[in-house]
Amino acid sequence: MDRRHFLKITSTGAAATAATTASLPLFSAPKQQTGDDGLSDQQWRTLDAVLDHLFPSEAEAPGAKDVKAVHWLQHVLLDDETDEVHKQFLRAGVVQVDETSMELYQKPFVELQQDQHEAVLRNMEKGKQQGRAWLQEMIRYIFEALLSDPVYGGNPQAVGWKWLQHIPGFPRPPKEKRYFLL
Amino acid sequence: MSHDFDVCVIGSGAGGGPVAYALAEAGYSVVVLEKGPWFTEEDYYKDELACCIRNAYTPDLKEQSHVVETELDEGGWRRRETAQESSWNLWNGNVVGGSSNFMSGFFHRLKPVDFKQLSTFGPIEGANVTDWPISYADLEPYYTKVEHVVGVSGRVVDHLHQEPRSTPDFPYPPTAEHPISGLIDQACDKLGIHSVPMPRAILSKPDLGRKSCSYNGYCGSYGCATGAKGSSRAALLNHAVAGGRCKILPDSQVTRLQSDSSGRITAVEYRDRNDDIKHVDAAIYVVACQAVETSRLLLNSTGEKHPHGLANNSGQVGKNLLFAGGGAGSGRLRYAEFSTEEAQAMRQIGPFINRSIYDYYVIDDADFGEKQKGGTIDFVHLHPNPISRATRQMRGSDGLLWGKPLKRRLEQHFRESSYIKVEAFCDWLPVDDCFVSLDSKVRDKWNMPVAKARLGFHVRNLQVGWYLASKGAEVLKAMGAENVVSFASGSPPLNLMAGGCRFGDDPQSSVLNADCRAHDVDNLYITDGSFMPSAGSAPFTWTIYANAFRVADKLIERLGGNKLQHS
Repeated sequence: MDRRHFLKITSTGAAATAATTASLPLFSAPKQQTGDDGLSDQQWRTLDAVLDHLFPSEAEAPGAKDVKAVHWLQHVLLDDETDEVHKQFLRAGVVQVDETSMELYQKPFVELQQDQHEAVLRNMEKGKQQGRAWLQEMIRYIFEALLSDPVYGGNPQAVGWKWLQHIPGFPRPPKEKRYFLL
Repeated sequence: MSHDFDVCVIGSGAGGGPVAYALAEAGYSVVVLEKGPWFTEEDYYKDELACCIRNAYTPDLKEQSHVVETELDEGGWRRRETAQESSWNLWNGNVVGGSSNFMSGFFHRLKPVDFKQLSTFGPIEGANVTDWPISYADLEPYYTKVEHVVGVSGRVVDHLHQEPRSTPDFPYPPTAEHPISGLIDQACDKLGIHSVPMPRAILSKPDLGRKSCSYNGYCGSYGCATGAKGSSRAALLNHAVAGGRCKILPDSQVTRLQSDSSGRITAVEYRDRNDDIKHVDAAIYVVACQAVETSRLLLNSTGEKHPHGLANNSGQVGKNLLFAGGGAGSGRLRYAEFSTEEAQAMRQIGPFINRSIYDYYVIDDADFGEKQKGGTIDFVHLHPNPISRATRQMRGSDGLLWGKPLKRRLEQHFRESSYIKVEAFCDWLPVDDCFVSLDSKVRDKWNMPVAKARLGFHVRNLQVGWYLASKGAEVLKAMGAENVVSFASGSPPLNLMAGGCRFGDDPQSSVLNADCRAHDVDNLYITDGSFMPSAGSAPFTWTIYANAFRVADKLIERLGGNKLQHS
């Protein structure tokens, strides 16, 4: 997918949803996306649950679900500009989450309780593989979805900025001046 | 002999802009080759993804990268390819106007002592300290010219190391100041230190065909949407192009300077936006690609008379690479510790802190050792970038923070305090282990060897950096800041580079003569920071601008004077 194609998709996405979600391709999990982004429906559910655990929604403070962090990750995996090695690293982490879950609790991640979620992810963090680096990257992507300009599809209605009382700079980027169109 | 242009400038940043501006203004035809795109004010927004995360203003590292080598504690060098480790990215803004588009515009003149470091303080073991072939008096008129042409805002106050000036004050009053500046002044008064308004290359009122600063709080790392920031593009190239004698070729990557059997440059070979090979020729060639890329271009430009690279017959090209830095610190002003009124003032976004301390520009402190070169201390706001700030909060004392503890920490960080940073600039010493060469393995997408930068440093940088940073930290503490830390760092700030083609009188130990013309190549000049044989103790940009205007005058003289002056 090149930059123009990306624009086309994001525009269509905005038109299709026509509501608050701005410009991400519609990902109403679980939905058929297998093949494009390299993750199965099951893996998307796993990732969604990981993001929710890392950054849970609260009444007064938005979480990963509120800022569409899983859409953000899908974007990254669909984007041709993303390095293939990096994509493999992102996918491998999802695989590792379910492997660790099976190893510790003989169940996939999405079927575990909250304290078990914590145990799986802490196990990954302390492990020898790239678990810690992957978790850091997941949190960083949540922050992108939370705190980048809403024109990119995360941070809906500036919910992240408002929560943290962050004042953005102006002028803010219009749709046609997003970084991949410059 | 007829040429396409009188002067060909390679690189459109702070080194190239003044030459294009001055030569075009004197009636000469100029072409400027810039490897990046030509963005204008219409393309610059306060977009953290664009500037700082997806790096929209620098090349794709998969196609154009560098190699860096850092010293290992156990000895030897660790090799990194920036395509794999992008935190070592050496690109700083490859667009028309170069990285000056993205500077903060913290502007400092060098001081007379910087030009005669060797004769003032003597040699330093392990460092290639030298005097400059020119004096402060030679550069002073051009520092003043930059104040007026690029636009520098400030206010002269008396202090221990105030450099001589040919004008009493700046042409533009200081940019609007944040209430925190007053707290710094009070703390410095208490400590008996001179707190000095920091000059900025930002217009505090509309002039020069540009708008005033809009004070939106996002300056460094971002392109300026008003034109107030004195980038080479906004301040110089726009005017040069409007005058009709300067042509800019964006998306044009110069791959080689071709030279003839006499050693003179005959043409520039470049790739246009379609990757087609093109050539252009001129009477005079000016290279200003920023230190690492300037040295790389010369080293890649071998010829009959230049078997080891252009202007490199003494093996000096790439040597004595320099950076600006040395120490840093920070402190937190927690709103709860101040009155409601004061806290409200501190929350204000937009105006600048703009405070510097020059009292330790020369350190005369028996506890620290012999009288020696010190440096500049700047106080600045923490960068407002929210994604980067949040990312720094995820490290806990016992592993990563996530879940509700992470969210509480973010609330505390963003809502409850203001943060001040100290930036300390020592005289980053030129050493044998800090240099640019060509990498033997990695090539760019045009199959040209990429630059390899070895980034060794002298222990004196750490000592002086630590000394300065801790002086800054004392001020933060006296202001009532919490969590005050200060430290020295030998890790070079990759956005502030100079050296590699030092100027000097001896062709055996320098690349350029006092006019910044290559000793070996009659029609080659270098006007970015590469010429600097020592770093001074401040960021380089004002000095690069001033020296490029100085060299421009030499070029005009050489070409026969101002063609448009009828007197």
